[in-house]
Order: sequence, then structure tokens, then C-alpha cells
Amino acid sequence: MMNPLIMVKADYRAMRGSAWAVVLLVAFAVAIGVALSAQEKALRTGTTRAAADFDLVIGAAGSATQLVMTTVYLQPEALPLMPGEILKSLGTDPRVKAFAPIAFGDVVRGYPVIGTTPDFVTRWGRYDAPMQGRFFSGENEAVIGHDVAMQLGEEIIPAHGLGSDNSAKGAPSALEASHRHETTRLRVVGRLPATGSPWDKAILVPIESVWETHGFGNGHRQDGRIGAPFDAETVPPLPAIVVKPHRIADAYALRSDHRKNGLMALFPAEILVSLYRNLGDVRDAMLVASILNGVLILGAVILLIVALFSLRRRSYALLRALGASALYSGAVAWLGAFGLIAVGCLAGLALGWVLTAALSLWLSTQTGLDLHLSPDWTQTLPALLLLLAGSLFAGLPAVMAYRLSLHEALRGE
Amino acid sequence: MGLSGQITALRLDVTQPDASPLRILDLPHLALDAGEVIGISGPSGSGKTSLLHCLAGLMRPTSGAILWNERDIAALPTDACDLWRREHVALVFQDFQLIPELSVMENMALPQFFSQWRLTDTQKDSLHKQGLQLGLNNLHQRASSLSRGEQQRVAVARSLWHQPDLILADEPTASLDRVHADKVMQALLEHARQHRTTLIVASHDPAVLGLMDRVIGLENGRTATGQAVS
Ligand SMILES: Nc1ncnc2c1ncn2[C@@H]1O[C@H](COP(=O)(O)OP(=O)(O)O)[C@@H](O)[C@H]1O
Ligand SMILES: [Mg+2]
Repeated sequence: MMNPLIMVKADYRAMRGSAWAVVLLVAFAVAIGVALSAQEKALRTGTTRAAADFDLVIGAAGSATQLVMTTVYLQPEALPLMPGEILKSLGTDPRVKAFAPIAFGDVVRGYPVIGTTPDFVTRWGRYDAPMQGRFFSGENEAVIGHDVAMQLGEEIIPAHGLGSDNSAKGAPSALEASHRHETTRLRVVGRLPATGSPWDKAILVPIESVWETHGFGNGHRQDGRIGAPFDAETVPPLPAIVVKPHRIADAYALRSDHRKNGLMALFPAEILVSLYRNLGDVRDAMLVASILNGVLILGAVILLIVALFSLRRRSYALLRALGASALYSGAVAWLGAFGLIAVGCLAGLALGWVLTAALSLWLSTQTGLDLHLSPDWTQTLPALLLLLAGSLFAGLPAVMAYRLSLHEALRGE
Repeated sequence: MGLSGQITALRLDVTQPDASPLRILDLPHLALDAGEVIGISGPSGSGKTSLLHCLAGLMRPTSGAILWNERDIAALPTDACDLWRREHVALVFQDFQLIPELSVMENMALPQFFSQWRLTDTQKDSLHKQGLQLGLNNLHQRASSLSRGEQQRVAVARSLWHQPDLILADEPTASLDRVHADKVMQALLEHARQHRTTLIVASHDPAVLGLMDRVIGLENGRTATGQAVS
């Protein structure tokens, strides 16, 4: 069997730095393609997973995106309030399986304190028990999200949330200390399982506790009760309600019922879909850009290969002068070029994954979303395409070797 | 076949393929018998290299024929011509034409890799012997690290080792001192005698030309003198 590798070795040795240039060029092109598509997918699944328990969200009329961002992703923004009486009507609505008011505003050591009900803390009964300890059972108790750096049994004092406070989560802050609601003391009694959402870095307390802290009463006729039904004469106002309808038809009916009288109702999943649609346009543009990128890289690689070939034309002429078959010199040229592109593609895939992992880590800390990467063969597609196109052009030097005038290439002087 | 190695150039004519056609070679007739040892002499630019390349099929004559055992090499398709060269011809190029990035041994045995994955121990032994005959002791050195004289000897060793029927040596002693030049000529002649190989040596060196059966003088691509030296 013929051994073209000995000449490939010689070619690589002769090329030295230029060989690395080809490899790096291909590697970067592939890495960028992989990173973009992997990141997009991770973001999509991460955001969808985070919205899982939010079937229908009701709020005061305003920005739909803002309502979703604040309730599902806990992006701190002041939402307009709606009258608490809606809680009464939802409580008697046969289409509603369960519902939970949500209140925001306070913080402890940078973690948002969220007022809600046992129904939502158990994620509509999906959790029988927390990961550690127990669920809250009174106004002075709190459960913490999976990633909150606190101990069970710890006593915490909520402080009025301040948008300007940029201290890191988990760190005590002077600003926070000066805004504490000193009369409210909460004990951490449980830790929730991970949801892969920003709720993992939140402190959940009975909504009654939030209302009382701010002097609204507790929403019940009887003191000491927590959760639905809310039967007080006047139920305090609140920014958002998450509703679990019985059936899909109920969900649509409830949504249209709560779209009037200064209210707004929406399906977060639907908002995400429209968001993805916009992202989809971006993705299409990115696809075109990355194809263009690939074509440019391929062009550059071909030029480089051709230029390198002209530098090596004497050795190809020599091969033919020594009687090498077209198959042999073709194999040398093809393997040489293909080897560089293939190594570049492999390095690019590896680099792409590292890049994606790093980007995910950064995005996770920024958004609180769990953006773990799932290997996906479609992400190797740009690399495979480049390899395929490369392998077509890799034969170019062999064709050129055939058009050489051996006499001129080897005449000397 | 007793015919092996017989080469004839008939009405060999090469012109430069330019706007102003310059005649490079214009030979009426040249016939060599198998095992014959021929010298080509002439000042530089007289067409020695062109003639050797023509005979090796590296350059097609504009008109005329090159007969190898009655087969016209000049009329062969490229592939067939390359294959014929692989089977019968070895060139010692004026500029040696080694692959600098390969070792001496890899350079000497290069054509072997066209059909073989690795060299056998027997082949390596014979490569070492061939090297030693020309004063090359270390075959594992890169060709790029050699002096010009050593490179020239590697080029000669490569042509000899493959045991061709026709050796075309283009000024094979130009970069060598007397001692090594003698070694090279001795090796070439010995090989020609032993294997009935046709040997054509282009050279200016009277000492080299003196060893030839016959010397053809070239001048501006034409035969100047056809002196027989025995
Ligand atoms: N491919 C070519 N293009 C232009 N001129 C050439 C070419 N080949 C040979 N010549 C010319 O032909 C003549 C003979 O050259 P060459 O065969 O190299 O002579 P020598 O080997 O005797 O020095 C020179 O004048 C040279 O310039
Ligand atoms: Mg010459």
C-alpha cells in the first residue's frame, strides 16, 4: 500500500506556521458556529423550564413582558397593583384549580423576599416535602430557594427592597441594614428543591407576612391563617396572581375574563413563544451570518492551500518526475489539506463547547436560569459542512500538480 | 529483453513556447544502445538540461520522437509517461531536487513509498550500503542539514538505488571535490556496467567526460561534435 503520509509530513514541516494558521482559522469559524447554536438552545430550554408552573398570570394592566419578567424571572421592576378582591372571585371560580398571589419588594441579604401561598410553594402540590426541613405554616416562617446561602433555623429580617442596591446576593449590605422592617422576624424552616430558575435564589414567605409588614392587614377574617381563601372585608392590593386552571378551555376563558377592568392576563409560555419568534428572526440572521462566515473562511482556506501549493510546487513536480501516480500525488495533496481542515474542525468543536460552557456559566449567574448544555449533533453541522466543502477543494493542489510543466519546475537556476 | 535501455531520439526539436519562438534543441538524430555510457558537453545554456529532460519525458518536444525500445515516449499520455519513468528512468537533477524536510534515507527511497507503506529491513540495509558507497554515513539526517556536496551525492544515491534502465545525470559532480567526484563517477559507471544501464552524463568537467564511451557536444541546442572516446 502506498504511503502518502511521508510527503504530507514533509509538507506540514515546510508549512510550519501557515499550517497552524489554517487550523486556527477553521477552528475559530467552527467554534463560533457551535457556540451560537448551543447557547441559543440552552437559553430556550432554560427559559421554558423556568416558566413551567406559571400557567396563567394575572396582573394590573401594563406591559405583558414586564409582568412575565417580574413573576417568572424575578427581574426586579415595580409592577402596578391590582385590587385584592380578585382573590375572592378566583377563590369561588369553578374553572380555577388553584391560585397564588405573588408579592415582591423586600430583600434579605440581596435575596428577594416573595410573598405567596402554600399552594405555590409546593408548586401546586408537586412537592410533598421540601428538600430540607418543612414548608412554612405561619406568618413568621420562610422557606428558601435551593441556592440561597442560608441555614435552616436562621432568623432573618426583611428590608425594603432598593433598586439602587447593587450588593451581591448573600452579602450583607449597609443600605439594606438601614431599611429593615425591624418588627418582622422570620425563621427559615425549609429549603426547596431546585427549579433551574431565578426562584432558586429567592426567599418565599406567606403573602400575609408581606402584607402585615407593610401595614395592609393579612387578608383573612381570622388572624394566623395563611393561604386561600382570602375572606377579609378588604383584601390588600397585589401585583400578580398565578393561576392554575382546570382545563385548557378554562385557561382561555379565564384569560379573556381578566383582560378588562384595568386587568391583564397572559400565558407566559405564549409570551415566550413570541419572544422566541423574534429570537428566531435573529437566529435566521445569525444562520445567514454564520454561513457567510463559513464561506469566507473556506475561501481563505482555499486561497491559503493554493498559495502553499505554489510554494510546494517543486516537490509535487518532483513526485511526478520520480514517477508517482496521479493517485499518489492526489492523495498527498488531498490528505494534507483535508488533515488541516479536519484538525481545525475538531479543535473548533472543542473550543466551541468550552466557549458555550463559559458563556452559559456567565449567563446563569446573570439570569438565575439553569442553562446546562445538552450535546446535540446538529451543532456539529457547521463543522461537517465545512469539512465536506473543504474535502472537495482539498483535491485542488492535486489537479494543479497535473498541470505543472515538470521541466520548468525542475530546471533549476 | 536485450532491448531494454535502448533509447533513440529522432529529429528532436524543442522550441520555447513564447511569442518569439526560440529554438532550444534541434537534434537530427541520437541513438543510444543499452548499456552505453554517453557524455553531453557544452557551455551553460547550450541545452544539456533540456535534452536530458526531453529524454526523460519531463518536456515534450515540439516535434520529433523519443523511442524507448521502439515505443514513442513523447507521444504517451501524461500518466503513462510518469509510469514509464517510474519503471525505467532515474534522473540526477542539476539542483538535486531533494525534499529538505525528509531524511536522507526517506529521500533516497522516496519512490518506494508510492507503492509501499514502510521500508523493509533488507531495503534499509541496501540503502545504507548505497549511502556508504558514496560516503554518506548518516542516513537519518534531514536533507536540509546537508552541505551541497552531500545533497548531490544523495541525489546520485537515489537514482542508483532504484536500479533503473536509464540514468540521466545532469552535472552530477558540479558541487563535489575531486575525491567525491571520482567516487560518484565510479559508482555510476560500475552500476552501468553491472546492470547494462544506459548512462547519460551532462558535464563540463573533462575528467568526467574522459570516462565516457562517447561525448556529444552541444552548442545552441545543436550537435557540435560527435567524437567517440573509448
Ligand atoms: N522553460 C524554458 N523557458 C525559457 N527558456 C528556456 C526554458 N528551458 C530552457 N530554456 C533556455 O534554453 C536554453 C538551454 O537551457 P538549458 O537546457 O538549461 O542549458 P544547459 O543545461 O546546457 O545550461 C537556455 O538558453 C535557456 O535559457
Ligand atoms: Mg543545465
